[in-house]
Amino acid sequence: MKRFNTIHKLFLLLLSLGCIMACEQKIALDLDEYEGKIVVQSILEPGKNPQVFLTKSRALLGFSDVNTIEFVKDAEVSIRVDGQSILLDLETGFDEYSGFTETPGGYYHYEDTIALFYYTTEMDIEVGKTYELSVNRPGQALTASTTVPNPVEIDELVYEESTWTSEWGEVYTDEYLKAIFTDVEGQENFYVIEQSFLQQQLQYEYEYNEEGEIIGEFVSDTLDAPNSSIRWYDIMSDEGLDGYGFSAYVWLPSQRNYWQYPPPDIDTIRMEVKLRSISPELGRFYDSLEEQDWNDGDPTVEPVRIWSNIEGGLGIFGSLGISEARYYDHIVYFD
Amino acid sequence: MKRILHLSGFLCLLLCLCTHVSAQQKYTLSGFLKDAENGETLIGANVYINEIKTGTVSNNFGFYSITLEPGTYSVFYSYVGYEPKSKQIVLDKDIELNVNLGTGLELNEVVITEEKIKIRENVERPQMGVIDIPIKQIKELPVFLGEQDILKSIQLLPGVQSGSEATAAYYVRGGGADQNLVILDDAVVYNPFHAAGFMSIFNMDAIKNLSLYKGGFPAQYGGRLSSILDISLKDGNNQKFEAEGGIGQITSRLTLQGPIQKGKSSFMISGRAFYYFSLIRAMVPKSIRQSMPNYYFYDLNPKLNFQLSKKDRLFISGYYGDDVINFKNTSDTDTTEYSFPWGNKTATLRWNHLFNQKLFSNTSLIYSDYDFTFRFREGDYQFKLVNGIRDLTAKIDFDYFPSVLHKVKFGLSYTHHKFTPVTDVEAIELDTLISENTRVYEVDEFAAYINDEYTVNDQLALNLGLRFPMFLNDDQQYFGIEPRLTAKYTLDENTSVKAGYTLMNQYIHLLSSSTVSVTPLDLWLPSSKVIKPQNSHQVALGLFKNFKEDMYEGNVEVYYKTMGNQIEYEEGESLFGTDSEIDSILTFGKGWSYGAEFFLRKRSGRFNGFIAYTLATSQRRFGELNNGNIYPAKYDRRHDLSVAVNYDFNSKWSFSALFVFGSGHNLTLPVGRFYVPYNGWGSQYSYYYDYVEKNGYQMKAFNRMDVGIKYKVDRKKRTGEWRFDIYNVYSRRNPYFVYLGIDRDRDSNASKYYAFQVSILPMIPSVSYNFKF
Repeated sequence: MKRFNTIHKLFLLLLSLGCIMACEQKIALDLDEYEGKIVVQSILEPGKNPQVFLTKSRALLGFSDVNTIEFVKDAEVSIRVDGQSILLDLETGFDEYSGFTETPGGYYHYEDTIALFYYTTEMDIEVGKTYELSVNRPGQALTASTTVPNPVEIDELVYEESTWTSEWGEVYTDEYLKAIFTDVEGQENFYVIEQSFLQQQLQYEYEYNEEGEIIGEFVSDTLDAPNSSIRWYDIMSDEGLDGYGFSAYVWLPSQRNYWQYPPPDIDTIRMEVKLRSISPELGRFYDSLEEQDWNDGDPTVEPVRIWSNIEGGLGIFGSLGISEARYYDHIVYFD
Repeated sequence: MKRILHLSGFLCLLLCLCTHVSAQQKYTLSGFLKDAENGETLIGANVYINEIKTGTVSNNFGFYSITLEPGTYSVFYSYVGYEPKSKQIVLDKDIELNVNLGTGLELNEVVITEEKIKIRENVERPQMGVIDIPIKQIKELPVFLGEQDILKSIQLLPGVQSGSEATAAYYVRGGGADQNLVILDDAVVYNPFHAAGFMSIFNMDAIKNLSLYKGGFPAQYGGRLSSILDISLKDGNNQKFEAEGGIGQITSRLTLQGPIQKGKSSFMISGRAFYYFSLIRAMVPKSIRQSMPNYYFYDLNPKLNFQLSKKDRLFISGYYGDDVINFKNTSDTDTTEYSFPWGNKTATLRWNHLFNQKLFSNTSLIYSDYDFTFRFREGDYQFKLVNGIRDLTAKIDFDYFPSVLHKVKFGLSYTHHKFTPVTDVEAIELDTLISENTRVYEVDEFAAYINDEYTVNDQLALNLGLRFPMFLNDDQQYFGIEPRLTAKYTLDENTSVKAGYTLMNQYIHLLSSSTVSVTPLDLWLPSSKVIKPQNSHQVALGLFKNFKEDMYEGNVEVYYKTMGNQIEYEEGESLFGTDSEIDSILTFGKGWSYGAEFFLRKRSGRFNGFIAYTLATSQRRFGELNNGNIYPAKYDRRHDLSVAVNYDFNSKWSFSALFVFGSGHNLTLPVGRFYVPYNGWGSQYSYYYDYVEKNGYQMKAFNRMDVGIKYKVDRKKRTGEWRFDIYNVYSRRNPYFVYLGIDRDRDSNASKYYAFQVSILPMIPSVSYNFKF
C-alpha cells in the first residue's frame, strides 16, 4: 500500500508538471524585409477625365499608427490611347477621400488627408477603347491596361414583394425592385448595382437690382437629385451564365436599416438604380477586396490575395460603364 | 485505345508466363509460419532455399508456398526478432510444413545463428518504396507521455514527413494527408487520429504487423496516390491465456488474449482509454469543474479466429473508438450543453481457404464507418451537425504460387460508399423541426487486379501488376488502368538496383483547411462531374546494399512524382459557413515532387538503430491560386533527418534516443499592407494585406531529442517494464503555428503588429509501466 502511494504521488507529480510545462510560448518573429510597392487606384468612367491615385504599401509588421497614407508624388504617369500618350499632372485635393488613424486599442478616428493624384483634362474616357497606363519612378516601372466596357441597359425595373414567416412565427414582407437586364454574350462581364433615393430639390432663380444685389428669389423648377446612394456589395459575374437574363434585387428600405437613409417626406418613393458594367479586372479586384475583408481573422479560410492587374505593383487600373433607370410609381408607407 | 491495347498485351504476357511455368512437373513445399509461443502467424517471414539461392516470403496470413524441381534442399526460415531455423527437405512429393519460430527447439532441426543466415529480402525482392516495420523495433523507441504511437514512428522513415509538432499526421513523398490509405485488417480507416491528430487510434499492444508502401505499389492496393499503410491485428494467443497492458500519465491500456480451443481458435481484445482531462477535472474545485469541458477518448480492438479445418480459417475483427468533447452548464433559468463525438468503427469478416498447396484465397466482408457529430442544446433549441462516410466492401484475393519463379496475386473488390458530407438539423423543442439540410452521395467502386512477382534469373526479378479501378457516381463514371512495374537487378550478393513506375488513381477526396492541420471536421467527398479523380505517376530508382554479413542495411532511393487534379479551396472559402454546393468552392490544379531518400540501419547487436534522411521538394500550381504561379506545398520539407538508437546495457536495462530535424513547413502570411478605398468604392481608405506568395513564409526548422530508459522486471509468471522517458530533452521551442496580432510596444506604448510563433511542447518527462503475464 505504501508503495502504491509512492507511485501514485510520483504519477500526480509528473501529471502536474506536464500541465505546467505544456503551455504555449509566443515569440515575436522577424519576417523578411519588405520593400514597399506602388499601389495604383484608378477607375476610368466614360465622360470623365482620368484620375490616378498612387500610394505606397508598407511592411505589415511594425507600428500600427498610420497618420497619413503615403502618396507617391515623384512618379511620371501617362495614359496611352489610340497611339497617343498623355502625361498626367500631380494634383492635390481633399476630395472625398480621408485617411484614418489606428489608435491603440483599435479605435479609429477620421481626419482629413490631403489626397494627391495624377490628373488630366486633356482626355475624355470613351466606351470600347483600350487605355494603357504607364507609371515610371526611379527604379520602378508599372504598366496596366483596361478596356472600357459598354454599359448594359436596364430593361425593366419591376416592383415585387414577398411575405415570409420567421422561425418564431412573425410575418415579414420584403419589398424590392427587380432590375432586369441581359448579359452581353461572348465576353466576361461583371456587374454592380447601385441605388440612390431621389429627393426633390427646388431650383431657385434670383432677382437682381442694377448693382447686382439679390433683391428676391423664386422657385423656377423642381429636380430629382440623388441622395444617400447605396452600392450593394454583391458583385455579379456572368460565369456560367453567359448571355443570360439577370434579375438584380434592389431592396426597398422597409426591410433595410432605413433610418440610415432619411425617409422621403413624400408619399411616393423615387429611386435611381444604376447598373455598373465593370471591366473584368475591376470585378476581380472588387471581389478580392470584399473576400479578404469578410474573412479577415478566420484561420480556417484559404487566405485571399488582392487581385491586381498592375505589372510591377499592386492595385487596380480598371474601368466601368454605367446605365441608369429611375423608378417613381409605387407608394411605400413607412411606420 | 493504343494504350489499352499495349496494357492488354502486357496482361496477356503476364498470364502466359504463369501458365508456361506451371505446366512443368514440380513439387510444392507449403505451410504456415507461426510464432512458437502464441501461435500468431508471421507476416513477411523469409523462406530461403540455399541450393537455388532464392526463396519466398509468407503472405498476410503467414502462408508460404514454393514449387521446385524434385531434390534435396536446405530450407531456411527466418523473421526479424526470432531465432531462425533450417530444415533439410527431400522434395519428392508435395510437402506441407508448418514452422514455428521462436525460442522452442524441435528435434532434427539445425539451429543456426542470426549472423549466419542471410536476411536479404531488402536486396533480393523486386519491391521498392516499402518498409515492413517490426512492432518490436517500434517499441524500443522513446515514447511521448508513456504512449507509443505507430504513426509517429513511421514519420521517422525516409520519405515520410510529420505535420505540425507532436501530431501523428504524416505526408509521404510530397503528397497530401488525404493521399494516404490506412487499412486495419482490410478495413479502411478514414480518420486514424485521436485528439485532433495528436495521437493515432492504433493501440500498439493489439498490432501484429504493419507495412508502409510509399512507391512501387503492388497491384492489390489502390485508391490513394501517396502511400498505403497496411496494419494487421494480432490473431490472439492460441496456446495460453495472456494479459498485457500499460499505465501511463495520459492513457492506460489492457489486452487480453487466449485460446478458445487450444491450437485451433483464439480471441484477442484490446482496449485503451485517455483520461488526462478527466483527472484534471477531478483535481480542480467543483466551481471550476462546472465551467470546464471534458475530453476523453477510448478505443477497442476485438478479434476472434477459428481454424475450421486444415484448409479453412475464419477471422472476425474490428475497431471501435470515439473521441468525445462535452460540456454542460445548468443555471437557474437555462441549460446549455454541447458535445462533439467523433470516431471510426470497422468490422471485418475474413475467410481463408486453401484450394491446394499453390492456391490460397482470402474472402472478406468489411464494414467501415467514420462520423463526426456536433450537438448543441440551449433551452429548447437544438442543433445537430453530422458528417461522415460509411463503406461496405466485399473482396476476394488469391495467392497463386505456380513455381519458384512466380508469385501471383489476383483479386476483385467492390465497395459501396455512402458519403454524408454535411447534414445539419435545427429544432426548437424536441419534435419541432425548423430546418434539415442533408446531402448524401452514394457511389460504387470496383477494382480487379493481377500482380506477378517474377524471378527472371539470378540477377533480374520483376514485379508486374495491373489494376483496373472503376468508380460509378450518379452523374459520372470513371474507369482506370493502372500499370505497376518494379524491376530488380542484382549487382552482387549484397547489392541490387531497383527501378519502378506506378500509376495511381484516387476517387475519393478529403477536404481540409489549408491553414489548419487534420481535424475531425474534414470532409470526404467522392469524385463527380466537377471533381475529377486525382492521379499520380511515380518513377523511382534505388540502390540497396547490405554490409557486414547483413548486420547493416542501407538504401538510397530517388523518385519523381506528378499529381494531377489536386484539390484546394478557392481563396476566401472554407469548410465552414458555406451555403454553396461544395463543388463550387473548390479549385483544381497539379503538383509534383521529387527527392532522394537515404536509409541506414544496424539490425542487430546491443547497439542498434537507424538513420533516415530525405532531401525533397514538393510544389503545386493552380490556375486560381497564387496568380497561377508555382508555389511550394505546405509540407514541402527540404531536409528531414531522423536518428534512432537503442543500446542494451544488459538483459534488464536499455537506453534509447531519438533525434529529429526538419525544415519548417510553409504558411501563407501577409507581409505588407496597403490602402485603397474601402471595398474599392467607399469614401474612406481601408488597409488590405499583401500576401506576396502562397505558402511563401517558411517556419523555423525544428529539431528535438527524446531519450528513454527501460528497466525490465522478470517474475516467474509475469514480466514488467518500467519506462522513464523525456520528450524534447533540451526543451527546444519548436514552432507549432504562427499568427499575426497587435500588441502594445512596451517602450512607446503604441500598438504594433507582430507575428507570433506558438510552441507547445517543451521538455516533458514521463513514466509508464507495461506488464505482461
